[in-house]
Amino acid sequence: MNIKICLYFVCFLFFSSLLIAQSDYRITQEFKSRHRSFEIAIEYAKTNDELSKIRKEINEFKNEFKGNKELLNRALYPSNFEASFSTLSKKIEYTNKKLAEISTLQTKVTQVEADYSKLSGELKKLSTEVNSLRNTNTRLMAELKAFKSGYGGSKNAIDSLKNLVGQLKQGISKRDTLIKEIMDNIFMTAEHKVESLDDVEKKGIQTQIKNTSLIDNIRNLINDNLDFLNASLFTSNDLALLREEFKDFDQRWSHFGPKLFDIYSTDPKNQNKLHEIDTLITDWDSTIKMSVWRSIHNIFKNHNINIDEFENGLEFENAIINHIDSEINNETEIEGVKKDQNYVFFAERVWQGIIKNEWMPMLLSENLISSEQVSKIDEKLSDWKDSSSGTKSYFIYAIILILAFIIIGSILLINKRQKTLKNKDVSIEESPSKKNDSEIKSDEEFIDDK
Amino acid sequence: MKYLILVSFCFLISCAQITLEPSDFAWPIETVLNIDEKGFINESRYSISTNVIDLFYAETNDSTSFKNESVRLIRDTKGYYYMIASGFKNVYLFSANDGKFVLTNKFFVSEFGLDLPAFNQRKPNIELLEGEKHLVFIDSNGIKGEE
Repeated sequence: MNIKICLYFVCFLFFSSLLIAQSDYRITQEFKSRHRSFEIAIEYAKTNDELSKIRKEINEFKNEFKGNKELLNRALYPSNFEASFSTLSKKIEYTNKKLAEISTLQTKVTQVEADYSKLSGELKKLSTEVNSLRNTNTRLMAELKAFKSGYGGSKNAIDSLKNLVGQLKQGISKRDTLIKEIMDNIFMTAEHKVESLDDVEKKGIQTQIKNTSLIDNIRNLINDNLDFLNASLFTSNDLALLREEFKDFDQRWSHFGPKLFDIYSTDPKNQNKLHEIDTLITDWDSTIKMSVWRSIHNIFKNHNINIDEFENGLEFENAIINHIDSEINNETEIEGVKKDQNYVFFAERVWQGIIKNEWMPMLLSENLISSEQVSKIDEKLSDWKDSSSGTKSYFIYAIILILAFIIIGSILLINKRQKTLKNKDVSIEESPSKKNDSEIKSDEEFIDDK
Repeated sequence: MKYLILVSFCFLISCAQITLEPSDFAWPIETVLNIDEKGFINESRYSISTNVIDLFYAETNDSTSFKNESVRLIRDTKGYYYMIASGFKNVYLFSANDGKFVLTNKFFVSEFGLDLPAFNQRKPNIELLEGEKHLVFIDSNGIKGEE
């Protein structure tokens, strides 16, 4: 009986298994679909715990489909059952590494955020200082202009003017340094990769530039320097310092300028401002050069040497050579001695003493003039010297002659006076006693000898 | 010359007599192919493409009934192709001949048409399912389940 029941049961199972069937296609599709879901889940996993959970589920999934391994090996061609799972394992491994990197980066991001916040604070502070300095500089510039218009020339006035120029120079220099610091700070984080910055990063830098009014500040910086250069006369040391400051800024601009152009590549308004800054920097350079030539011309002017104005090395050379030529050719109009004095004054005091000693090193190092041009001027000066050397010798002979006359005359005069004094002494002493006759005689003889 | 003719003749006879066996053309699983608006199906794994408008017309007497439908296709070990689609009452058996699918046989499987037909490869037969329910085994000679 029991055997009969068992047989019926086996038959039932057999037929029911025949009746209940699954489509291979459906099994394959389900496998593919779940495989894809796991791929997505791995990609989006955010923690290691999530990943461990997924790994466990994948193991269950594998066990579930193990019975269809043969089918899937054929259906998944060119892949197969095992390869599908090794793909998932590789993805898990990759995501694991990625999560570890993210964790490290997260720490870095926190650090960078803290740095950014600190930097923003510093930028704000620097920006405030820049504004304050600009106000001071504007006031000082106005004072300087007012002072120059009423400039009297007394010692106190000159000292005040010097003091004012010093303060202004210091103020501008300090402000320039602050702006350079702002530029450094803004681009510090993006130093080598502005080209590869994404839009969000570019926007962040744009915000910092806007908050610190960097572009406007740079424009003001150059304009103030231009005003300062145009309003004052400088010594060679001043101009050397100003030139160094320009070079420093120019170097920075050639580094940061293209980055700013890149950041504002789609902003025509700021692009125009940047182009304007480019032009102003060229002006700055030429204004410094002009200021050098103007200051040198002023030296000649202050020494009452009338010389044509010049704006470059060639004009400078021509102006000096023209002046020397006119001095050489003016023999008829200027007396010989005066001509010699003019040469000595020009060549030794002004040319050698001031221009060559104080200005020439800078002119040569900045290539404002060439050593050939200086040699030409020196040659011309020696021509001038030669032309005035004849009058100089006459002048010396005349002085020697006059001196000889003066010396001889003086000796004769002293002699005569001494004789007169002696005669008087003899007449006074003769009456009281003649005891010292012999001595007087001997004295007279001595005087005569003398 | 005679010798050459004799050799060529022998070669031709020997070519005609070559038979490669045993051969198995069976696909591991069926493919489900969507029909495009012009009635074409395109199977990328086995590089098969054909127009099924006539198949649908034969089944439904409606030349537009193929629209928005899909065809289920499988090949058995002998190389015959079995086609069916949702709503079909018959399984169509084709063989490939001279660049065409030529109908070899047609098996009636449902009086009201199958809603969720599916093929399984069960060598040497093809299993036909309705959803998850086994219907019949088929081969190129006919339905096995009825035997």
